[in-house]
Amino acid sequence: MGLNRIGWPKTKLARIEALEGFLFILPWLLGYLLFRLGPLLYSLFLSFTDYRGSGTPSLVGFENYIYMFTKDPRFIDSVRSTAYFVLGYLPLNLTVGLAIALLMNQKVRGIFVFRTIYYLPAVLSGVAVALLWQFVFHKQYGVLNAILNFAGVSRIGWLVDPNWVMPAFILMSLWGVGGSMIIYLAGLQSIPTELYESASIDGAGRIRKFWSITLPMLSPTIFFILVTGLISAFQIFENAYVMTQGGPNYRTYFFGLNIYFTSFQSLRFGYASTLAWMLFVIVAVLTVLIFGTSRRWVYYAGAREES
Amino acid sequence: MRNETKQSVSRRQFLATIGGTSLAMAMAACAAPAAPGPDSGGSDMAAAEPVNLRFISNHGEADQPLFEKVIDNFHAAYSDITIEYLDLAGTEFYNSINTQGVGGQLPDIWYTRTFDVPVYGSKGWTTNLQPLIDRDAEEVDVDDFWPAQTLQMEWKGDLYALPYDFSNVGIYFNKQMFDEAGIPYPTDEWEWPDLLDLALNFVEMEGDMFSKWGLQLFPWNWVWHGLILGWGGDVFGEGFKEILVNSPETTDLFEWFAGAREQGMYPEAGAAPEGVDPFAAGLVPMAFQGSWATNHMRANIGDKFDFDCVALPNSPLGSSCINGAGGAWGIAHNTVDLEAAWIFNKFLTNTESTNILISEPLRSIPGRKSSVPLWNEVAASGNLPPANVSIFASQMETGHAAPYPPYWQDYGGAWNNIVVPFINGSVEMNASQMLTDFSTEVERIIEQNMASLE
Repeated sequence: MGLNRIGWPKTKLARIEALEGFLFILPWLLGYLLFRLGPLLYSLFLSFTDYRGSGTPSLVGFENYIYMFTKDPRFIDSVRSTAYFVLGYLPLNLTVGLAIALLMNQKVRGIFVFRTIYYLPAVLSGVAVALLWQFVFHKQYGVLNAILNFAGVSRIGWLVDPNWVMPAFILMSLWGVGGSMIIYLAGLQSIPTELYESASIDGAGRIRKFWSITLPMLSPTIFFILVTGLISAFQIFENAYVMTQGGPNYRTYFFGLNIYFTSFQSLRFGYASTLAWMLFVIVAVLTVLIFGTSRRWVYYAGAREES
Repeated sequence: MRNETKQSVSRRQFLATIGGTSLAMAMAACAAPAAPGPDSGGSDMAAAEPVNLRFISNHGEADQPLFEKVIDNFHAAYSDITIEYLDLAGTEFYNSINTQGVGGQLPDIWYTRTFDVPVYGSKGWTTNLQPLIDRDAEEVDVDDFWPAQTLQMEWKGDLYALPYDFSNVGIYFNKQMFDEAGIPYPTDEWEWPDLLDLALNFVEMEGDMFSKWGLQLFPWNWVWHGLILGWGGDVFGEGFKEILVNSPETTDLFEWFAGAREQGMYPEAGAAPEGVDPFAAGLVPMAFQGSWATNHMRANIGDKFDFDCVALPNSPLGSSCINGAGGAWGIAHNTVDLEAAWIFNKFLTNTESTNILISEPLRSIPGRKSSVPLWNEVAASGNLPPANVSIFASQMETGHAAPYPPYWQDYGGAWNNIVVPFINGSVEMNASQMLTDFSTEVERIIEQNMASLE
């Protein structure tokens, strides 16, 4: 017997079992308390202090939050640039990932090779890829401008022109679209073929089948990619850190970069914690909103059957 | 066999072990740090008991054997003080030092660039060395330091570090390109308009784009402070509480460079090939480079062409445009033994160690003037270019002394975001507007850091 619904186990055996259970989870629990929950709560505390890496953190109430909303142009920059990136990245990631997955879902000889090729960039990431893109985006000698030049487009300073740097980052984000593709592919392959066969018998064409079967059946997958994509897009850091350091003119001063610079360069840990909690709140609110709308557009076949 | 799979430890024993180990680990993690707190102080006599000091540099693999040699020499001289040496390369060094600083676990001695001296000093991470320097004045011999560097190693009038090296920039030039163009080499007595005149002889275009320029230019803020001062402008007000760059003199400077860039004096952003050294590749005949670059230049250029260096041009007003920055060594406020750390810092920065660390391997300008003759001798040996390398040490005598503020990192962020795009031509705005924007941002940074300036 285990624990009662509420209260301490009544029998000795149940108490021993409960104790054993707690002992089993103890390593994880201690790790979580010490290295996750502890720092999390401490950062919340720091967000109400003026801690700068020396002395004792002194409480300043909501001063950091007020400063952030009323006086800090870098906060506005980071919200603007991150929102711009999210709005550019998410629709592209969702649609291009789906388009590639639909292509990769065809019964074509050697399709596994193509799937591997399209997925490969998602495995390669980090500083090396950022450096690679610097060559691609180079104004005078970059591959992209060379291709555009054929179409008569004059050279674009992708990473140095404040007006073009964000489109460059959004374009670059497609590098990892293979990750979405593979999830879409799994979703596509789990759609029962009987549905398509029935639709064909009823005379449905390809487009009709896509809108009436593929998309609804894929909606849980789209929902998953949307939520995880949203969270990862808000956390963009590495490429901007390597390629632009937030510039030019703070146009790529993403939220993650702002937090990093504020904490590890300015050593204003109190204010950096405020920014970090603000990012958490923004992501949490948007995630809750998406979850809230999901009932209207996410179709769970299993759930319907059960109900 | 069933007996073979039987557990030798019961489930209860196993759980008890796991639980006990986890608790022990948690308690160990929560335990007080090994290093004592700020109030622990140091023993008066380092020689009385064996002392273990942690020492961190930020120099890379090539320099590690040099530090190890100095440490071996130190161990031979002071057997009761042990140095635990660690080199942290690149920006990982700053992440590590900052984390250790916040956690009260700073190494006893670590590399503090002159940019960082006020940062660490204002936070109380480093020890004020002035009383020790005054006590051991003869041994330390502050007069042997470069006066400009001495100013940069101060925080609120006291020295917080002892010097390692000091750097400034000059102009390297490709003798072959000058010979082929039939143009006389530049000399140490020149001004920026002279450099522009020379540079324009080498500018080439392909269609509407420049394909060759006159100079490789870098937008390093500490170097540009020298240009601002040379042009008659100023950077910081008293106590770093004011930013003074938004002036007609500084506006002239930036307008002059923007005009020069438009004529092809130096490449705009994204114009020179990525991953290519334009000077070594022969795309520019001159390079605005540092005193630290001699070895790097020799390795990059090899026997492709002969090169030399000259002084950085003066401003059109005839003033020096040199500003320096350097490396130094600070001692943690909570060192395990201040006296032992001080003994090591003195040893690390004496002439003999400076010779080993800087002059013999030809790094940047030695932090001690007494090491410069050896540095010049090594630089001139083997008849390797640049022949005029001693100009860097000479420039130190006439350079400006522009100390750095405790908000240097934030200042650098603003510089990179607002000033650099203007220098490299990636934004369309006039110099006056750019300097207004920059000043506004630095004023905000000053306001945020006012507490550390009081």
